[in-house]
Amino acid sequence: MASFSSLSTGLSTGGILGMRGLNVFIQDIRNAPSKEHEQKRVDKELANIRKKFRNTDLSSYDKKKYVLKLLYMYMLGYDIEFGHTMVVSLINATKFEEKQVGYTATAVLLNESHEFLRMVINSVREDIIGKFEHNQCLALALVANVGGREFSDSIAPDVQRILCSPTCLPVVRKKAALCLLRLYRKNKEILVAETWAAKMVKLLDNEDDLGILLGVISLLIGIVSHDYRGYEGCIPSVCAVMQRLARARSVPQDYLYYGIPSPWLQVKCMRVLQYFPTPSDPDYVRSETEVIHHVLTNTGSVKNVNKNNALHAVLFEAVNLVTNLDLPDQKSLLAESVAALGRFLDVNEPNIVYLGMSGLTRVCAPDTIKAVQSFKSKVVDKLNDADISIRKRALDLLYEMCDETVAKDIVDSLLRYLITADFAIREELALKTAVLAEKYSAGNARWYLDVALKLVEKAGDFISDDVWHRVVHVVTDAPELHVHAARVALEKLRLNSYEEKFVRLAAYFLGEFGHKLGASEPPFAYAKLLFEHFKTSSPTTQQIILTALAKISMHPGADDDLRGRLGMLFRQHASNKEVELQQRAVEYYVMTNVGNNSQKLRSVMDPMPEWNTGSRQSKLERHLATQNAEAADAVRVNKARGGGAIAPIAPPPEDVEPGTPIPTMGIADLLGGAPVPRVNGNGPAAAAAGGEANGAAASPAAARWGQVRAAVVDPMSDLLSGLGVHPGQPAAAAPSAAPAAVVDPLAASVAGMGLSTAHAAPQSNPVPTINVADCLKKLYAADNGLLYEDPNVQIGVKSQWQGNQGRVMFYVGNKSPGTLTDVALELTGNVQGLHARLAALPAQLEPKKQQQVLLELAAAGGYRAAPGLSLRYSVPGQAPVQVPLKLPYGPHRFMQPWRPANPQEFFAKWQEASARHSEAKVVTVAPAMAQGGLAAIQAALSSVRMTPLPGIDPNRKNLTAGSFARYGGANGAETFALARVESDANNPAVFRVTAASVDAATAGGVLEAILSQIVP
Amino acid sequence: MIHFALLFSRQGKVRLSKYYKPYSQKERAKMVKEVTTQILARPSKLCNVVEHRNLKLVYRRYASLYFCLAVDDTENELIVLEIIQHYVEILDKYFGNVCELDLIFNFHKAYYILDEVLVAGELQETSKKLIARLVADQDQLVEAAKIGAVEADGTPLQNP
Repeated sequence: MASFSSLSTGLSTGGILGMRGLNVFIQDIRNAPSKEHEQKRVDKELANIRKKFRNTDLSSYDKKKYVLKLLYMYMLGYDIEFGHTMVVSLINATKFEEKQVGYTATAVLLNESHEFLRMVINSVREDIIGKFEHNQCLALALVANVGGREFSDSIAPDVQRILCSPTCLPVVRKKAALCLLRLYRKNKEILVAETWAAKMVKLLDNEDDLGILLGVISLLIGIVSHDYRGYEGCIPSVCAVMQRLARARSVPQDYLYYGIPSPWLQVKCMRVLQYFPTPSDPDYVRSETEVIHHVLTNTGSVKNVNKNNALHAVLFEAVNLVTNLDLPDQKSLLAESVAALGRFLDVNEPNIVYLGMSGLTRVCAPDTIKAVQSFKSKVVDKLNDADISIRKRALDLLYEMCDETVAKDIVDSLLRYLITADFAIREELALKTAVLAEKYSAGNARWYLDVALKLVEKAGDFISDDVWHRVVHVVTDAPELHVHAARVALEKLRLNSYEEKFVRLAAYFLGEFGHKLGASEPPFAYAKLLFEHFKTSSPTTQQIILTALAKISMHPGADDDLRGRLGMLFRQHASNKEVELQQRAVEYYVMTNVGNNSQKLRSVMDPMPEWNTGSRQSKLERHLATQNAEAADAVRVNKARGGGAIAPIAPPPEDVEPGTPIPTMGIADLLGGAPVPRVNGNGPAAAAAGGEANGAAASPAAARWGQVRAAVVDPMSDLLSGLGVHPGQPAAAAPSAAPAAVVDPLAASVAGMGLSTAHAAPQSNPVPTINVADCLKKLYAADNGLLYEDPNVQIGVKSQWQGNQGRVMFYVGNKSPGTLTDVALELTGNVQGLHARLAALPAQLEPKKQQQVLLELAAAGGYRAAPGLSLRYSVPGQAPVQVPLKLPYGPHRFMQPWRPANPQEFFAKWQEASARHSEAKVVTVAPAMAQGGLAAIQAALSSVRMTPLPGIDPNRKNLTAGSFARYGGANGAETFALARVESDANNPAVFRVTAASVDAATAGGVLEAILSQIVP
Repeated sequence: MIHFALLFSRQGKVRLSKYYKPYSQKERAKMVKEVTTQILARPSKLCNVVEHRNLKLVYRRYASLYFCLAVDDTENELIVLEIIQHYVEILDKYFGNVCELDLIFNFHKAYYILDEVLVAGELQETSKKLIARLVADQDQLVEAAKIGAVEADGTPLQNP
């Protein structure tokens, strides 16, 4: 025994005993100076392991060593699938040390759908029913972590037996309880309430071991969260455990966490009770009430972070329990809960503030709303917190606590916050503000309109079309608002409001209600403003302005002069390259100019009929509801985000009800579609936006804060030291500041290694029928073109760019004679600085059919390249195809022309930029460029939106160019990107291209775009 | 329940990853990338919870390492945060002032210990002493085999 303990001490201090080969390998990887070197080392090792695995009589030591090496490479992101057989086969070994490695690696590497797992079901079962507890534990843990349905079918009875057997060791029974939980999740039929409930009661009643109780109660939560019926008999037992912990009766020292009797078990007990209805037996009601009351009134703030967290976690769960039950003292308990949660807001600890707001949001009900509202001003302050998590909670809470008494205050606060709010939250914020404003606008429609207009004006790019569509609905139904709406629209347009969505809304109002403004504002006055905005608007907005202008031409007071100008505008755009715009221009031209048909056509331009908002559920509220439903549906996590985004694409029936007497119906054929409803149908795909408000892209605010973070911390430093909390010293001081920035050479050496090398199974993709690289090059400059084509699929692209926004429509066509299945087009990865949202593609594509899918891009900050795109599809009977594609949408896409007043201005900018970041490359250009000389280069520069500035560089053989982007929208700061092209006196085909920008990623991205156009 | 546990360094290198829900390799790679990016971008002193898709990421930084547990939206965040602390305290006891290098070179040990703390995405044991004893027992078994202290039929000697 003595020798055993000394051995184990030796192990625990370094673990360097044995496995020398593994340590050397890890050290080699850490020493690799670059990703390439690492890859080389890994490849060498993989080749070696492949060779070794062909050898059938590997020693036990070698098997373990190689499997652990594979596990390490897997963590670095390398594909080690070939080793799965060996990994799994270690489970069949007889020795514990091999089994231990086999079980552990299997549980980490595989998931329940792997075929390999089925191969070892028998070995696993033998280990479980065997007599050796360590093997039992390994096997139970494997099943508990990755077991699938097959395990459920074959070993559930064994696991049940172990759990209920008092002769089995506690360590095994604990694992059996959780293993059974996993099996139950996979197959609900293995536990039937009639027989199992009694056993659960017995397990809970006769158990003293808090470890086993934790497992059993976790199992009970799993069961009752599915269906509590039949398990009511467990309530008294759970109450008893809760009482035992709350009074700290017979709780061994080991189970005190910073002096608190197992807070985890306390939380679980309270959680399990939430799934049951309030018990009828007054004893248990009293018991529950007592514990809750005790927790609610006896939890204060303490200095130790961990203790504080644990205490507040228990308190939080007690509040959850109160809200889920209907106890006789409910009123006073709720009041106590709200007061306790309110105190969370004052704790100087962000986690507790976060939880406090989550709790208050949950506890908000008619009975408590007044009490919750008393914290309103504190919550409003939290809207300006540095932490997005806190800001989101604050927004949710304000939304929940809103009623007619505080609606004005809250909506005002939200509007104020909108101006400074960052992108990650704006969309949700705008949506919630709009819903609240409408919900509490009774009797004060004008207030609603003012809020809505402000919202559209301020949040512009970040509101989904739904929001302004809804404003249109409400205003249309409130005739008293018409004049006001038109007047405000007019005034704001005069003040040069350029927010696109606002212009759309204003155009709509003027088109519908402009004539109600009276004689002081003749049609020409407001039509003129729309003319001006027409020039600078995006095609979508132009369509709406065209419709508005067509309507204005029918307003009383519209003279021939105005009609003449309109006619010219329509004619001019009758050949617009935007199909939609072209069609409208042609239609309106005809409608406003065909004399003998004018009466019939004139009716098309009648104002829109009432919308009946009252009888329809607001689309916005539906939108929020879908978001919440989605959040509740945890199963969807594994699916791509597309699920929630598809639904709104097809206009819901409420929007265009069949049979609604819309004046355009009669001539729908002639016009090839009713023009007016289209106003509301513009960009329906954008309606999908709300669901993604929680997108993963890091907010600019977060990035800004990131700069003040401490530098790399020494990996040798003690992990717990930064917290100032050691297990031995539970009352240690509050966390100290981050440890000093010590840059460790080891840490630096691994810094360059990425994690993204996920290897898919080898595939034989069809050969593209176009030169994909060439097409990509063209698309760097062109808006429209082909992105990809193979014998089965063709992808065309049309894109529109405006300010910091881009809309890219992919046209995915099936060229093959059969139906393609599992079709998907997905973005791969996130790019910081670029918000990208790709709608989902239907999974089936009929032969010779085309589907459109919209990609929306918004540049929020500098970035180097757009995320990649992945095309997947299956031809029946063939292996699935997966094609990675590049997107040519670098930062150059958002560049706007720049004209410096003089060379000095350029050089000042150049110096400022190149001091921060510049990237240069000497390249041999394509023959056409070499022949064309600087003129050709100049054309290439402007094709990627770098404004050539000839004459600035004193050397006539050099060329400069410059543009700027406004990341983050029209109000964003200008980020300049400058470029310089220098010729080589000796070789006309060689140029040196330099790009500079204060933003490194922008410089790199712009250089890449320029090079795409000039090198062969 | 806990969907996955992830340990990674300041540089985004994964030191440990364990999934309790069936994620495919591709989904895992994507998740690792998103989670590390999102958490590493957050300055210190903010709260230890951040929303990610339909999950909540509860994380904590210890010197150069981040420990992250992804849990259901409905989970009690603070108690999950203390699971992390619980695990780190156990590692600390086992390695004696644990540091990142311990976990790099003994990553398998970190997995063995994790299996004593979390099973099926649930907390399994809260007694540090008990876990320390179990892990020590397993280490002894392995060492005993190395010095030949096994029965002739290959079954290891039981603890005396």
